[in-house]
Amino acid sequence: MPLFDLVLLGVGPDGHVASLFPGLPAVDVPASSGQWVVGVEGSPKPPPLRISLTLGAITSAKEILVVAFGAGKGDIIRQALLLGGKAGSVLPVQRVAGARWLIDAAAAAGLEEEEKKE
Amino acid sequence: MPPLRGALPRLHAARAPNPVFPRPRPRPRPRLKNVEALRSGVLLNQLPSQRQGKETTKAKQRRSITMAAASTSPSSSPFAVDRTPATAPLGQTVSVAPDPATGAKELGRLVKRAAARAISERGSFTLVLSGGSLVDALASSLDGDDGGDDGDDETSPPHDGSKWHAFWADERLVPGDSLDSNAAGARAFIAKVRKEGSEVLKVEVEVERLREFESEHGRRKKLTLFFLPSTIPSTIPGRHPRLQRPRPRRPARRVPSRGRQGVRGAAPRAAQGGPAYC
Repeated sequence: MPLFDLVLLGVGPDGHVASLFPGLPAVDVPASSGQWVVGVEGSPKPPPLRISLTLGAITSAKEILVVAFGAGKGDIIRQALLLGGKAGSVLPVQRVAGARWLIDAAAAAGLEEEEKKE
Repeated sequence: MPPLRGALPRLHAARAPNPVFPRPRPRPRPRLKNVEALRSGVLLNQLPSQRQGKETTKAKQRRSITMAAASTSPSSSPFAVDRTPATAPLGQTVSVAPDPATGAKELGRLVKRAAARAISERGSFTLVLSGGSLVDALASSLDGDDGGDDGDDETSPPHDGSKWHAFWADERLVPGDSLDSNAAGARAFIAKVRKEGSEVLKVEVEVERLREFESEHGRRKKLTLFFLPSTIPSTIPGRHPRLQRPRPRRPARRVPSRGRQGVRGAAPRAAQGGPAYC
């Protein structure tokens, strides 16, 4: 696997990172395969054809940052960080082991609501 | 510098001007130390995930958590506070900045810190970028800062772009001049780091070529392509030699009507086969 020093990722409203969309086979390329890059066809977000680093390649990096700013990201952040696994399927972003989220207060609002409830 | 496999030496040899990757002024080519080190295996032995034997999932998680913890002491940042919920998966941590502008500063701080560490350890810094607003935030966060940033407790050495190597986390398979590509979206950032001597490699793959390849191999949805020619091996090397060969990026002198009808006038390039890198 490649050894990147730092990987910067965004996260989509569906929990995708890079071009690894939930439900597509590209997410499930096992790290043990040694495959660094995967072709993606049928991306729900156009354009449909893409290539992407695999999860294995991403998580082999020394540091990973997932950056999400704005209230619009609140929903996916709550899903990814609080409701892990509850929805039945694991989101791609939840599989990025050791990632550090960098979010702003607006994006973190959903997090606080849940915390108060608990 | 030993010759690198693939298209790397041709990166700056394009004939026609490209708005995304303007032809750089002549200057000594930056040495891709990390690439050489990767290829020679020197780097591999130094890195945790490359140690001999398979790392167990548990060990990997532990390492991730340790790494995350090491880089996430709440007091270490003037811009963001640690707010990791107990439910965060797989050792993930959460830093919250009060607003996007401050968040961008934190982003810049973290990137510069990672760069400083990597450069002091190995002499180069490999950065993976996604497209979109993130890159713009990064460009602005690296702006107007030559070291001592506001209250940062770490001493950042002067920014040395020649030691940075940026890669795409993903790319859309669109024609080279399409505005949909990450590379096009990151124009400002690329111009900036290029000016500072960095290399940003763009992957350009013909859609037509991709389809042709897929039908040849019946590997639909399982296609693996070279991402960067000399650094990331395809999982199907040798299966299709043309995929490993560079081809001209802008065949301006070719007659477009010759050859097969490709998508968006791409036939001449597609006919030559293989991804192009520029």
